[in-house]
Amino acid sequence: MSAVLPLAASDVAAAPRVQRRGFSWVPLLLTVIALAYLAVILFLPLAVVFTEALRKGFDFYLNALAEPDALAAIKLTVIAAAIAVPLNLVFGVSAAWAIAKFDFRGKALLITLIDLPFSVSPVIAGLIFVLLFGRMGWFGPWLGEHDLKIVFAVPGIVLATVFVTFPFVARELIPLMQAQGRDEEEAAALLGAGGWQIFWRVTLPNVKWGLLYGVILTNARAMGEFGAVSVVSGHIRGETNTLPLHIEILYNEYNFTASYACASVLALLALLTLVARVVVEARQHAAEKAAAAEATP
Amino acid sequence: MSIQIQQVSKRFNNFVALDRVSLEVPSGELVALLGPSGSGKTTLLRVIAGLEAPDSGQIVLEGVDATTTQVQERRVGFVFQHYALFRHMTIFENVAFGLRVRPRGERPGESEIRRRVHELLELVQLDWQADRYPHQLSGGQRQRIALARALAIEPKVLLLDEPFGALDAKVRKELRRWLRRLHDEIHLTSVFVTHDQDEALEVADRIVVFNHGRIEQIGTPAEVYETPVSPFVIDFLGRANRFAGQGGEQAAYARPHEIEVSAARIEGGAAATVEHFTHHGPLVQLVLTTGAGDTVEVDLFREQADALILTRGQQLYYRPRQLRVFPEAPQPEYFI
Repeated sequence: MSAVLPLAASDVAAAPRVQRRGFSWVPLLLTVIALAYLAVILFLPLAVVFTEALRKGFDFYLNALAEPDALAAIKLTVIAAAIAVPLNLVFGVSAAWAIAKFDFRGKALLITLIDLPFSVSPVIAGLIFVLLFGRMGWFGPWLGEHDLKIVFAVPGIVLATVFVTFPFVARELIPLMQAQGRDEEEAAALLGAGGWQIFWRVTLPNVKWGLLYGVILTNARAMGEFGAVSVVSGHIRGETNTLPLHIEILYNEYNFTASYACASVLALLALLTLVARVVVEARQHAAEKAAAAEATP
Repeated sequence: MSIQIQQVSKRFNNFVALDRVSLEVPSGELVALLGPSGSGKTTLLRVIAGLEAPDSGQIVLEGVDATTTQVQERRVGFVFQHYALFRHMTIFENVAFGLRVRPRGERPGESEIRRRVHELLELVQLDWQADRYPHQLSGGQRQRIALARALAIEPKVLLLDEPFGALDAKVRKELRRWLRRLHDEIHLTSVFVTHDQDEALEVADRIVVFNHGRIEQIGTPAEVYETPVSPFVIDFLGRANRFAGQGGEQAAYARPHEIEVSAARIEGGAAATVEHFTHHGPLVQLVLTTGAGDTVEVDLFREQADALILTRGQQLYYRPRQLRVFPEAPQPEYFI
């Protein structure tokens, strides 16, 4: 036995050397093409945004952001996201929980409905709210009588943002929860845990990384949404302009540097989202690996 | 605590999982529910636990009707085939879970929880693993933790769903002996589901054989093996040869070790040729082909086989020493 072992070990050591092949142009060429594509599509625009934003110096950059209309736009964007994200967090978690852990009639319909904002153009989504709550819309007269304003006001912007972003959390959680099955929840119930205890102590901790990722995506979309918000906003400066709309107005007024300065804020948000995504995905991957190890003996 | 199951039925859409099943498990017994997959054994276990509600019938735990009692209230210890340990909790927290989720008034203090958990971890011989996570443990260790976790709530009955199904053969054998010893120590009324006849025969006090949502037979391992009541039971528990009777209305069965073989003609015997034979320790498994083309399996001791000087194609005579006769039932799918 001892005579055989060293031989086997040297075989293993030799294996990588056997697999090494001669130099080939193909992988290099493909890598160069991919990098060139990324440079043109991704890095170049990003670089342009930041160089244009800082073209007239750092002071001008700060002034462009500190300008009252810009500040109002940032504030409104943050408000819309601050309402849409928690709402869709609660909705997404409940929908995913119901779909993954229970059987009920109309489950397939619910899954389809959750995907609706993905399949509907954001402009149409915005129009829906105009048709519902606009002055000529279904509820327009009633809203007018009670002196309520939804379209061309902050509530409309919030509604449009909520609509456009509601699939992200649910979509992230459903496959994750389905893959985890119901065994742990059943085990918890058998040990005496009630519905809330099961949710807080078992279900939620098991999906926390997926949930965080869903929230990050929701937030990025909420702050960056243009189409739906543009339709319901009415473009009232300092009142109903979100940051993306404000950028468009500045650009149309040939105020390029200020426009790029505001755009750089959104670009920074995108970069932060990317970093957060990498971190969260790494954690989620580690958790899934642990889960896979748990499933196989 | 005793379990009584009275006329329990359960359907899933068009599939009848349980068809008017009645069963009584006396206090302190270890009972195996044995049957092929889809025979209803796991469904019955889940109905006893309260994870499934029966369509009709009653579950009586210690003389009290528990049919509509919530899962949380049943105080049933349940061990899953794939362990179902809480993956984000340490081993200690997994075992402590059942104590921590109790209502404030009944919840033991932290030091009491600590004492109880360590006691249980010692019982399953895994106290040294308390701070690790489930994925860091082997399959056999995880299943022992799942058992400790189930015992933490001081259950009135213990239910195990294919507890060794996900383990490799060696660990499986060790663990089922260990479970038997554990049961002899703590005497908790226990029901486990298995499709493995060896497991049922080795571990259980009594075996309940399931087929198509019904109970075929209930008895001690010796009873179900020696006096099976139906062709299904004789085929499912151990190997058996089937001999078609006269007129096709009856079928007779004999186990491989119940057939005698001789080189010379035997009274009442029939001729057959040796198809092949294999050595299994002290036994030789012999496969014969009859004149009608049927196969007959025979187990011989090594010495008997040696005396016959076996060769392939050799002509022999065989005669069942003992036959079990059943009315012919159309169940060819279980025929070996």
